[in-house]
Amino acid sequence: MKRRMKRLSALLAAAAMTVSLTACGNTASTETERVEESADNAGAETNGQDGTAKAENDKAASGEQKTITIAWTNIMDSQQQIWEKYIFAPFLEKHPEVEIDFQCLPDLQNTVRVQVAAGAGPDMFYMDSIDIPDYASTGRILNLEKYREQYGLDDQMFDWAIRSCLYQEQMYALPASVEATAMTYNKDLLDQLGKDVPTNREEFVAVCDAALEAGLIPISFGYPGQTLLITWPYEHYLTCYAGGEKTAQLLRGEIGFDDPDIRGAFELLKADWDAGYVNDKKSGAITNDEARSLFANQKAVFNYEGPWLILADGAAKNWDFEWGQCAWPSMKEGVPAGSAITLGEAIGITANSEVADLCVEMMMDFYSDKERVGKAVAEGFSTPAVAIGEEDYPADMDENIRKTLDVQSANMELESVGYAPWGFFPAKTTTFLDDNLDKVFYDKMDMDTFIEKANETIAQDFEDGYTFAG
Amino acid sequence: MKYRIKRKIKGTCFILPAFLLHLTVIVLPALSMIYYAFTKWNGLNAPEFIGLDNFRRMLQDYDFLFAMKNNLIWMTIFLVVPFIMGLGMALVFTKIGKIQMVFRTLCFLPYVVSATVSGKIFAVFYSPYSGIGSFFERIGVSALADFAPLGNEKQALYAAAFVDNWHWWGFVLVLMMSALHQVDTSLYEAAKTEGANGWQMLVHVTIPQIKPTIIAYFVFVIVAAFTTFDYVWIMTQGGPAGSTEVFATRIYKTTFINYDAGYGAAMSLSVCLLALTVYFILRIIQRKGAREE
Repeated sequence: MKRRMKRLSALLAAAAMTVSLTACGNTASTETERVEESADNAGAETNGQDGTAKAENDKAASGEQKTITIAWTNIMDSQQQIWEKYIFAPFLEKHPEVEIDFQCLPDLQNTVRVQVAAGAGPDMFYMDSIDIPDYASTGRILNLEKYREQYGLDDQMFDWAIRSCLYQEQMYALPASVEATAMTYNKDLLDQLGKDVPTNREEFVAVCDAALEAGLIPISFGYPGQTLLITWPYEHYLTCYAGGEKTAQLLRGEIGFDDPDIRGAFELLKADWDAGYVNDKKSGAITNDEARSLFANQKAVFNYEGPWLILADGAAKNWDFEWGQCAWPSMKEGVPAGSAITLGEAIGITANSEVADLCVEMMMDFYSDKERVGKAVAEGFSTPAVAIGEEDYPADMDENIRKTLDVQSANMELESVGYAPWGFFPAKTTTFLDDNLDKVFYDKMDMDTFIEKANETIAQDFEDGYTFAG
Repeated sequence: MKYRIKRKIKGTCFILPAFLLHLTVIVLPALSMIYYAFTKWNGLNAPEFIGLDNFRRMLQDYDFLFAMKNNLIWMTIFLVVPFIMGLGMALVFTKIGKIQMVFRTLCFLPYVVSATVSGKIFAVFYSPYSGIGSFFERIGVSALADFAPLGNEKQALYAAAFVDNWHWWGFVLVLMMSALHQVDTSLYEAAKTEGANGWQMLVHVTIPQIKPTIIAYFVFVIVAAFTTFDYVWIMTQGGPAGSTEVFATRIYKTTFINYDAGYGAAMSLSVCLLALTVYFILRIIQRKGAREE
């Protein structure tokens, strides 16, 4: 009897395992069917037959529940609440048949890339504009030309933001937010040092030297674990030493990194690193959070970060000193103080999404409602790529946010506008610069090799079809 | 005969689900890596076959070769430091009676802390503004005030290895203690009768008796050293200036940050082959040693 029982339980266990495996198989085949079906829909759309939209309308008419899955970066709760309040809630009121699954993922880019490569993934997701060519060239994200026309995006959004979302002249992502880089400074410490906010190289050096002498850190900056943050310093030097036009020439392939102005920008940055201006040469030992904390605790005079520090991250709430933001000082005579503009975030829609129309509708409902946009930005939402007038902001807006937005608007109108690498540079080149610039700082790579390899990398990017969106 | 066949079929049926699972989740993806190693692939596009180009590139890739050097340093550290600490303390603890349980537990404690937690905690200790350096500054030891190993390209690898060692050596201690408990005490008595001193007993009795454990430890460390990732990734991500780059961080960055998945697969394949080669060399030496004995 006992033996029989044993046999029976063993058989049951084996059967359960087999069933679970079979179930896996079924799921996989269902998934494949879904992908094929979606691919058919995508194909129909390319042929000008609005298959997906029709199917959606049919479903809507029949009252079928639909879910929009959104994958976004790991933003703070307060930011998620802004999405809920100003984007999702009004849309859900309009479309009660829709459900929104908003996922904020810590390792978003990798997670989404793997999901999308497998033919799955969210309906819409955060992406950096430099990743658009990879997704677009492989047909993983939806061509948005149809929506560009339908919603008149060219009339509504900044033209350079739209250009940042193009691949082979076709629009593949929605511009989500724009930013203009800035220098954040501690006015109290500047007063303490007896200095004004620097506007040129001479004044900048004077402040940095005075700060070092007073035992302060001139510029707080940390990057371990996030080498991409190295883009912040070199962007400032390219913009304010080489200038926006030279940077544009570099990105158009008219000059190389060995151009005296471009190379000079990197050499000057290295000289400033050696002088201890960049976090006393300890940036490799502290995280960005620690660098922020040094600035917050009045140990540093400047910080590399721009408007996002105040808007999305709300850092100024905890600062008990007078602070300000402005354009980075001129680093060479003849090149004015400047700021780099860039697309902060873009939105990709997966090619096989069955709710693409709804995704675009939801975002465009928001972007075209200036009052809603104004309120969202006033609460710290990253500034969308649409013009927002003073009258769109609520009167009781947070003072820190107002100050930041004023500086951002002023920076966007500057005589010299640069191009931030995370929005305009080609992907391989950006990765190369981010990965190798600290080798130059630490004298593990000489400037000649760095420049030579940067030239080789950007040549490869041009070969791969990169075109400058500026 | 019939019974035997029946038994075999039954056995196969039981093992089949697990085998299929292993085949699908482990073997097939691993085999697909071999194919991708010969392609140019960014993880999204259709892989383009490029023959041995990835491997040629690897031979000229300074970062990859530098990572290999770091892996060898890492391996040397872990072959020596935790082994000596673990064996040394095990020898002491086995002599101190019941109270050894307390010490053993204390030494083993770091092993139960996850790599992420210990890595993050030590990163704070190593910080020039909130860690050991600032502590020394406060107490007036100015020579150590600038102690910030993670920001120093010459110290960062050793600083990360120290934390891994802190986490790992307690386990080695327990491993060695259990091996020492297996040694026949009559051998020590016989050695004592013959007039052997402590060192002679260690060399001629203890070590030969626990040799299988020691060899297993070495094999494990060598293979693990090729795949080390967690502490380096959590504390430095290969920086500063690539000074702590190891195979795994290089492969991860190549594949998941630079999206050069074909090249990443080629690097993974090479590391696998390297680890397998070392493993088989060790096995041959081990067998040869056993035969000679």
